Amino acid sequence: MTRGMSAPALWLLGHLAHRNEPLAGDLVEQFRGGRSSTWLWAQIVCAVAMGEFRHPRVPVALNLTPIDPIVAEWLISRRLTPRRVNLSSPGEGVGGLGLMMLGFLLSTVVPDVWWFVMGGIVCGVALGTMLAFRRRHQPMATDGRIHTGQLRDLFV
Amino acid sequence: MPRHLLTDFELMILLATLRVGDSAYGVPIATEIGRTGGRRVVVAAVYAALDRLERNGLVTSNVGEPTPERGGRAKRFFQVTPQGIRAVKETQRALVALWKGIPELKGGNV
Repeated sequence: MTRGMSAPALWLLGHLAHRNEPLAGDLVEQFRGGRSSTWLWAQIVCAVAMGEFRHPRVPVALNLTPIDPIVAEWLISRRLTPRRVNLSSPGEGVGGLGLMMLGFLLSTVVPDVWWFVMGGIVCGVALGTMLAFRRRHQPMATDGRIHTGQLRDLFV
Repeated sequence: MPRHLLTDFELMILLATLRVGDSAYGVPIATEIGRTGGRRVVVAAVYAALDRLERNGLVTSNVGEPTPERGGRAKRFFQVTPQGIRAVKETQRALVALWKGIPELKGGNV
């Protein structure tokens, strides 16, 4: 495999990195140190298969820095890593007008689907509240990280 | 305190971490196992084992500063705890005890 094949691997690694930054950093460091694309692909595939990129290893928080530096400072002092969240539309032209059109179409063609939407929202809020409540009582490791087992416990 | 006997891979990880010293993170640990132990390992397997060892209190970890050569990602440094050292010694003792008294293993190299 040529070294040119590394671009997709690095792209994939970039998307998985927030789930295990030290491992992603190690792989990038080794690849830049002269390891082959084959080696990089093998490492990524093994890491995914072993579940090393399954759960974020650091508590995820919204990046509030542009809004309130005091809150961001507090998050950092609690060893919570602020993470940027893309709140923009996933596609060009799918903005407020697109959503309004979608809502209009749903209302006219299959109005009953709104019950599912409402049910989804209620379930999502309930699940989020439950997870937030349980996370408050979740013991943190000494390094401020949440480990795989602890995350798994949230869903048991 | 319960006795903790290590698997062969856990034992290699702990020994490699001790050999590397203060700068022990995924890459040097995997390299040390390959170079000294003669076993090629996947970096993810090293992290999986270290996570397990950390949950058992045999190692601790702390996150360093992000560096450009790692794409701005931080290293996670590992240290073996006194409990980890005790587990290594207990495992060594158990293996040596098993080794003794086997006629096929007496003498020099086979």
